[in-house]
Amino acid sequence: MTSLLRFPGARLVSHAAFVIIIWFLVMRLNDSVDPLANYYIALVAMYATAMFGMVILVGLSGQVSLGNGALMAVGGYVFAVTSLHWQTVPILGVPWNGWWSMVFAAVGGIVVGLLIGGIAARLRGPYLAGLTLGLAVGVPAIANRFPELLGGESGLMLTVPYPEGGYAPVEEEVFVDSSADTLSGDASTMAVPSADAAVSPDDMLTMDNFPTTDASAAVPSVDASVIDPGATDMSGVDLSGTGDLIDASFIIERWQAGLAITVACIAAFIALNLVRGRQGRVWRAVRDDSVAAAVAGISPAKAKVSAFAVSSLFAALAGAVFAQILSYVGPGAFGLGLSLSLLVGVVLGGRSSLLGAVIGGLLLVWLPEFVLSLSEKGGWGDQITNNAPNLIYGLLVVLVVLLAPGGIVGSVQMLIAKVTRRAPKGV
Amino acid sequence: MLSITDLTVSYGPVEALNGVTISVPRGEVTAVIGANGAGKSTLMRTLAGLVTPAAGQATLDGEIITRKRPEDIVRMGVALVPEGRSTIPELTVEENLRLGGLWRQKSDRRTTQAEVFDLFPVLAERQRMRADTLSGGERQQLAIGRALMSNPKCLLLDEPSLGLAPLIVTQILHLVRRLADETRIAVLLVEQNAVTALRMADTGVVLNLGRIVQTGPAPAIASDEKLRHAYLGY
Ligand SMILES: Nc1ncnc2c1ncn2[C@@H]1O[C@H](COP(=O)(O)OP(=O)(O)O)[C@@H](O)[C@H]1O
Ligand SMILES: [Mg+2]
Repeated sequence: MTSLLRFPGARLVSHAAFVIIIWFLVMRLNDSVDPLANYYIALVAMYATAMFGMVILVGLSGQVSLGNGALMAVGGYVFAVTSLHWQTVPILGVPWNGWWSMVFAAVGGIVVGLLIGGIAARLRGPYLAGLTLGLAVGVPAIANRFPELLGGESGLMLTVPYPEGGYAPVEEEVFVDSSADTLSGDASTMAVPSADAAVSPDDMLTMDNFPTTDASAAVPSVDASVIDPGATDMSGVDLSGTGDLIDASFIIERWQAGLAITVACIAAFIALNLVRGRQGRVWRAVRDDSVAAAVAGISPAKAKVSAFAVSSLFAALAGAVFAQILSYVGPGAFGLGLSLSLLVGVVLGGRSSLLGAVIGGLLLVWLPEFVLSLSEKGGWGDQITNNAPNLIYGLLVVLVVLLAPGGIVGSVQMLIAKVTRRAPKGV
Repeated sequence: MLSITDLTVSYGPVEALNGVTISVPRGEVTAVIGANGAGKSTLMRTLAGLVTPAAGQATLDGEIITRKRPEDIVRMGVALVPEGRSTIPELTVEENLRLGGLWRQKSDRRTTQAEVFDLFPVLAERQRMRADTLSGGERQQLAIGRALMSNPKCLLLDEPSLGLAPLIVTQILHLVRRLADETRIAVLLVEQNAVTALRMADTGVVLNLGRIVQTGPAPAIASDEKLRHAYLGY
């Protein structure tokens, strides 16, 4: 793609064009499927965002991380706390909205990434794994230390973000039957939710309790003909200014998936430029031969810290998206399982490939559903059903590491290289 | 000129270098020869900033280079080609070269790259191929080329002949000779393979168990039978 264009900045432009095309196609797909599929798309996009960071951290810079779920928690909690408590942007004084919370989540991610990366750059192999494992376990537990601010074990409920003007306020608790007139369209303030908004994480993290608006309450069994695709995209919201009325066909899952897709595409654009540019070469050099890199004038420590910061930025963005998909943050949502899933996904997909991150995201969403369907057919008990995905992850990782270290993408590239007799080239 | 004065390096209790003093003038090749374990790599790694010396110092044109970070030493004009042809396998030849001068202005880098391609035409032919598809000799040329990309005043070569066929070794050492003659770079070459190294070097230094046992014009060292028997094993 880049070899066709040779003007300065050509790579930037071609990456932008590529990402915009992908964004457009996935948004179209998002608009044409039912809300349950929207939910899955949102999850895949969210995982992919986090795993772009894993590709950079684990694949390119060669630092194993068992703790990126904790970095997602940073983004999720920053999003939650700022959107619940802040009405105006500090210093700037402009009214708060959800986009600002995303920005602060990103900044929080970078800051924490720099801190952790500074420590991690001095560690190798097992010690680094230990540090990041400690993060995965320790960071979510911080919520328990500050129950007033962070909601403790039961977490924090969020108002469902609302599309008008980016994120408009929601005056009432979202879970009540939200017929249009309970929702204010005034985009200038962010409402503070009622104090009893916290719920138990056990109740939250199941599909049954997945927050829905009335329009999509019947999600899994919805008849496609009920929803007219033309009227249910984001433009279906009344933006005329006269009404604070919400189109009854507004689907929150669709909007959330749109957000997740957009964030994933922004992350993909940043990642593409880093991975395929000078910084990507620096990371690979430090990974493959840090002595050669150092004597070539590259600082291995700086390269490692920057990989951590970028991966933490992406994790925090993904965490902020996750908080919105769930309309909730809590220690249980960002536990060790999430951290391990990210590592599994990136190893399976192909650890040095951005495409591998997307494939990994698909696997992470599809596999538990696949197991669930098997379990329904086979009549397995809950014990088996809940643990089978982890067992399968474990087996797959062992198989991939032994037989196909490049993951799915790496193996396909090798195959193509064999067929065409050309050297494989990473994405 | 690279001046090494009284350099002493220990790895814990193991003293790897003891009071080493060497001068490497511009445009000349100085060959340090010695058996396996003599401390040759330690000398190179210390000069490149990968190891901190216990005592002594090294200067390049009067500027102290010891006890600085590797990435700063490269910027001061000392480039090491590490033992074992360390090229980055996943990157192409051109990308490997570019790594060697990342901090430099793009235009300067282009000029140097053209010079490297002049010196090593095989790298120009293979510039879009991945480094791991190259032969051993080609990879050694790439490693030297990457070091040259920093436009050094002093080039440190750690056993470039390691694992290469004799004909290739001769070729590469001739290129190094040409480089010193044409660019006036100070070359410090470390070799176990004494015969070929001394044939093209100006000065020879014999290192044994971390100490210098003899310094002199390369032909004199090469023809000294006692030295050969005692320290070089042939
Ligand atoms: N990292 C290290 N730690 C401890 N001892 C080392 C280390 N590197 C080299 N040595 C010791 O220092 C001595 C010199 O090694 P080296 O400089 O590699 O020699 P050469 O390159 O001449 O073969 C040897 O005795 C070797 O065992
Ligand atoms: Mg050696």
